Amino acid sequence: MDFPADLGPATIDVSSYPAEMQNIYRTNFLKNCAVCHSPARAIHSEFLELPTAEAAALRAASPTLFDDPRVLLPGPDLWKRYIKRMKMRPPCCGVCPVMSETEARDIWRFLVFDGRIRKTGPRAGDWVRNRRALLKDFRKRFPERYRDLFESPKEDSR
Amino acid sequence: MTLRRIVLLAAGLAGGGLAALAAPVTEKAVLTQAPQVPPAIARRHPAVVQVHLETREKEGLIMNGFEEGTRYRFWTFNGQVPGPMIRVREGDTIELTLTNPKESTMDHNIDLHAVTGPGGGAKITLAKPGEEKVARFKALNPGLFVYHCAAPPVTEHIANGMYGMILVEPAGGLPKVDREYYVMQSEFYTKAEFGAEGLQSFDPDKAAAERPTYIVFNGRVGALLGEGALKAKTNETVRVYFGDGGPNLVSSWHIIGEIFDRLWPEGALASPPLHSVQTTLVPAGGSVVVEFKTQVPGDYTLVDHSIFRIEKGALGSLHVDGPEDPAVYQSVK
Repeated sequence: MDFPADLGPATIDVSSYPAEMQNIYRTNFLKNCAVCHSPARAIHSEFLELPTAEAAALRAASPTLFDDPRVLLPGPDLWKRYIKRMKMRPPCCGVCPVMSETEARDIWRFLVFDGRIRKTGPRAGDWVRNRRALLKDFRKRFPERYRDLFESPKEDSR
Repeated sequence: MTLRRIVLLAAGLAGGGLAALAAPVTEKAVLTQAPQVPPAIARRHPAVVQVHLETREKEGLIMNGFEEGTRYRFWTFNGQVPGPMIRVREGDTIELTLTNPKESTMDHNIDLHAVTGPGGGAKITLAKPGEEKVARFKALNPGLFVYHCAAPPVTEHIANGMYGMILVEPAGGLPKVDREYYVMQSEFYTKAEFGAEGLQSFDPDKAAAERPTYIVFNGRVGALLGEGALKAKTNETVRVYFGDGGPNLVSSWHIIGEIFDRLWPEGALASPPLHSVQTTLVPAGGSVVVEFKTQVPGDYTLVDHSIFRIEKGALGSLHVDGPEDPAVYQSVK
């Protein structure tokens, strides 16, 4: 377990999502994102990709929403950059699927869409409660890793 | 003139003296865009080889994007990163014309590592916008050499894409192979992080700290993937001319699933090759020539085995088509 998100369920209920997003989730996201880690890592991630203006509007409407970046971290291209890096994982041994540009773009679209649904709006409260529970559990079970992630000063990793 | 001297002169002319007296052949270099390589040189006598390079500052794609591409304002030779590959023969005279168009915003020149003389030619090719310089160089040493712009500041001219390769074939030529490719690794340093879309700008602080944003083969992320993958058939001999434009990093170049049957470290074609090499170090501003036989079909991944660099783009592919060879590679259970 490397991250608090890894402790969460590895699937979500997408039955209310548009058919296209359900399809990306089942045939692309779960396939590609489960090769190196549990899909839980993305499903329960604190990343919330939103345009800067939209994040500012949300912050104005709910001033405490982004108080804790361990719970919810807004940014204009968080998933976009992450997925592009993941796409560069090479077919070293032939086990990893080679993610096409279309697949990578669709996973990014799904994660942005899913974030809006589950991390903002009426479901935001549930999101915050679940994420806090994962953080608490992770801190209890993996205290050293927790300190590494959230309490150690970070060097600029650019 | 005595009869003896007349006989000696006639013998000399018949034995090749005529060729020595004749004006040297002049020919125009075939320049290619990576990964293509100019054709092998068939002639076995020296020539004057004319090479025309033009410096261009040009916006291009460094990586495909999800919403829009990641673009960069490259500084280039002939509009290409890496610059075109030049191929001459040991003993040739390179007559190089460097044009810096008047629309250019800065001086440019060229330092060819194949050239013996101050600055590798940089001093006598420095061209201001609107100028054209012509210089002649004798290709004294065989090998695979890097060239780059060395106009001040040399750091930024290389960092922005001004480098390429020149092959000086040994006088006796190189053995024929089935396929030849030209691959060059280099880095780019941008203010925004990897994958940021839109037009990016150069970050001198990251460059000075040697912390690249992109590490690429042939000028952009994915240049050697998908449709751009190198191609071969089984039981072919492939030769790759690989260079490292830097500006900073040494490459630990490796092809996953292949072994370099013959390898000329640092592009030193006058030396005997190494055999059966897995990974080769290629210095910034240096090169290597490798040959290998393709026995097993499939996809082979080109990497810098400083392996996290794959996530910055140092990834390419060689696709080999043809029949399986179970004696070499097979699944048993």
